[in-house]
This record gives sequence, structure tokens and C-alpha cells, in this order.
Amino acid sequence: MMLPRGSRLSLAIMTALLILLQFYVRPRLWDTRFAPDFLLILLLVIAMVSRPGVAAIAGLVMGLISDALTPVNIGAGMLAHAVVGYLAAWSRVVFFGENYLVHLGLFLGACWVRNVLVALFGGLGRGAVQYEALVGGLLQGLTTAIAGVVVVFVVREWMGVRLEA
Amino acid sequence: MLRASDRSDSRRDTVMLLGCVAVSLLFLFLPDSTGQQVAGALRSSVLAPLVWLQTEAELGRTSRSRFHEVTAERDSAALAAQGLPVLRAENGRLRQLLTLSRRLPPAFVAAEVLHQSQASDGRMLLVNVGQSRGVASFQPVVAPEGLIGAVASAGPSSSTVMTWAHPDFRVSAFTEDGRVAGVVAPSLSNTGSEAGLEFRAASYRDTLLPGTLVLSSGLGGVYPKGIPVGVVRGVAREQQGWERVYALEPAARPGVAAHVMILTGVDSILQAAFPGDSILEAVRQDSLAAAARADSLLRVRVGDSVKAWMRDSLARAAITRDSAARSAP
Repeated sequence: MMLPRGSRLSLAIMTALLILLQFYVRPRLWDTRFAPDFLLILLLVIAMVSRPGVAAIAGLVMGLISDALTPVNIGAGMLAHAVVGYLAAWSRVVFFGENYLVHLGLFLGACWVRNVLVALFGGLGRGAVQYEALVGGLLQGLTTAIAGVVVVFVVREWMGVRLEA
Repeated sequence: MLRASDRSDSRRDTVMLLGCVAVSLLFLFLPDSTGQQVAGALRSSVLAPLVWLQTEAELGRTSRSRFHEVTAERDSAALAAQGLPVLRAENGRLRQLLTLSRRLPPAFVAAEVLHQSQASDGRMLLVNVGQSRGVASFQPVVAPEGLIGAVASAGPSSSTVMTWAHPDFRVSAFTEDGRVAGVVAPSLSNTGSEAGLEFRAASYRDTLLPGTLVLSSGLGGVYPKGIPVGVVRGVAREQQGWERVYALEPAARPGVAAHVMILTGVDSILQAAFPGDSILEAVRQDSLAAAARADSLLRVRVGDSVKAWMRDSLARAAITRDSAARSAP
């Protein structure tokens, strides 16, 4: 991982906070189908500060957690999160301008891709894939993107994430 | 130009991704039972604190924002239950006359639904009760509005529920008037929020009007009879002139359900409903004896009533005679 020295503690604190947000705060929010996914935000923040391979493994672990909690087709979430983690870390090489809009797009795109892949590999049917592609993935992506930018703004110093206005 | 170390890192990243994809595909093609076992083991060990945390959050939300809603539901249920003793007595009497055994009240365990962020959440729900509360696989799960699904796997303190939106879900059902029977399955074009059900295997000559209530029939040994499954929306499609498939508006929505009830005593209900031949005969004899007892009691009561009526009539006649005598000049 390319974390600055002393950032491992910050990563641990951030992980604990985001897990708390995911499992304690998120259920209290409005319709949970469209509520921000803090585990995905955690994965993307890890992807921002690590190599694509490490991000893929982090995605695999988070996918396993998601699959164990909603076991429709175990492996679909793992595959989707691993691919999203890898692509997010790899895209840092492509997108040099790390500003709010880029991060907003990254979070939105990652959530959308994840949802579509889960629906596709989870065997949920054509209708579910269409729904995730056109409605569900976009709405959840939007809320996740907004929450993700806030998280990145808060942890940018700890995690060494570059952020331009 | 890439340096040798960069190329090496890049190759290592690609290998790691391919490894992750391979592991994911391995899980994806594992037998379903094995996958459920792995998920169950994770939920009851590493993920147990997270499940506990979410359960606490759900309970916190329930005790605050849903308090008034639950109170209103309880009041409505209490009002509806006021007429229940009369109906229960009448039902018991009719069942006795038809030599049917007594209807047993279903035992249930209340559970909180722990919704997850993944797109497949509506197909498989995580609930906060497990084997420690008597939950087991294949027990039906209902919401106040109707059928949600059945327990897919039960861990020590949490369980997963396969909802009606899952592609493998089927329930034997019939219309409220008992005229048409069929099988209810998720719609082929299920989507995330507008998921629907289909009432299949209804014969072509039977026509169902929109608004007809469809209930579980009790066949199959999983779902007890009489749970609302959905309401007919219209004809979904017709298959070569011999079968009509109706679209159903589901009675309950798993995606937004916060509380469910897991029916834990269904086995005993089904055993009572479908006893063996010897038991059936014994029950029939008991019922006949009970009916005879009831009839003799009824005769005694009728006799008492007639005597009382005659007493009243005589008393009324005497009063009339006295009044007439007083009013005479």
C-alpha cells in the first residue's frame, strides 16, 4: 500500500467509523435501498491510496461480507467489488485531476457498476439488471457519491488523498 | 517507457485481480447449500458483531420513528380481534360437524429485518433471530400484510429468508372463493422496485377479475393455508389456449419490510390438518361423541327454554287477566 507513514492507524479509525456508519447509522436513514453504501466508500478510499491488486483483494473481502449478509448468489458481490476496487485504483492513473467532480463521478460510477454486476452475476434476471442500470444503481450511486465526497474531504489529510477545488 | 519494477508491479496487480476473479467464480459455482453454509459460518463468527450492531440500529429505529405506526397497527388489530371469540366458537362448531380437528393457533417468532446495501437485498433478507429462538429452515415468514417467503438457512442468532422475489420461490395458492387453484411464482420480468408475482397454472376456462385475493393453499407442507399472497392485477399472458397466467400485486413488499413473523409451529398445524387414517378415525369418533354431547346439551337447553317460555306466557296471561279485571267498571 502507498499509505503515508503513520496512516495505518488513520485507516483503521476510518474503517471503524465507516463500518459504524454502514451498520448503525445507515439502517436509521430513509429508504435503505437508496441510502449511501459506506462499505463501498471504504473500498474506494482504500483504492485511492493503494495499488490495483491490493484494492481488488480489499474488494474481494468486502464482497464476501456483502454476500454473507445477502446470500442470493455468493460470489456475485465478491466479483463485483473486486472488479470495482481494481478499476477504481487503476483509474487514478488515468484521471490526474483529483477534484470533487472527479471523485463524485468515481463514486457514482463505481456504485452503478457494482450494482449492475451484482444483478448480472447474481442471476437476478433481466428486469433487475435494467432496473439497476436505469434507476436503482443511479440513485444509490448519487447518494453514495455525495457521502463519499464528504468522507474524502474529512479524511484527505490522514490518508494523503490529493483534492483540488 | 515503463521501468522494470513498474512492469513487475503491474503484472502482480493483474495476477491479483485474476486470482480474485477466480475465487469469486469458484464461490459463484459452488453448490447453493455449500455457499449458504459458508455465509452462515461467517455470519455467526466474524460478522456476528456487525449483525448485532445492525440489530441494535433497527431496534433503535423501531422504538422511535415507528412507535406511532406500531401503536396504530396494534389498535386496529385489537379492534378486529374483538369479534374473534364468536367467530372462533362458530368455526370450532362447524369444524366439529365436518369432523375436522381443531384449528391450532400458529406459534411465531417476531424478527427485525436487517436490510443490506446490495442489489440482491429484496431476494434474500437477513433477520435477527435464529436457531436459539426456534427458527429452522423452510419455516414460513409473513408480514402483517401477507406472505414474505420462507427461511432459507438458520444460524444460531440470525437467519436468511428467501423472499417471493427470489427466482426459486413457488407457493401453491388458490383464490379467496376457492374456485381457482394454481402456483404463484415471481414474475419473469422482475425488477428491483416493481417486482411482481404471477399466478400460474390457472386453467383457460377460469377467469379472474382484477382485485381477486389469492391465498396460500397449504399444499406442499411449507406454507399454511390462508396467508394472503397477492391481488390479481390482470392477465399477464396466455399460453397456447390452455393456461392463463395472471399478474399479481404482492400483498407484502420484502424490500421495505421492517418487521416479520416467522411461523415456527407449522409442522404441528399440518399434522393436525392431515392426520393419519387411524388418527382420523379416532378424531371422527371423538367428534361424533362431542357432537352427540352438544346435541343432548342443546336438547336440554331447548327444553329449558321452552319451559321458561311457558312460565313467562302463563305469567303474562295472569297479568293480562288482572289488568282486565282492574280496568273493568
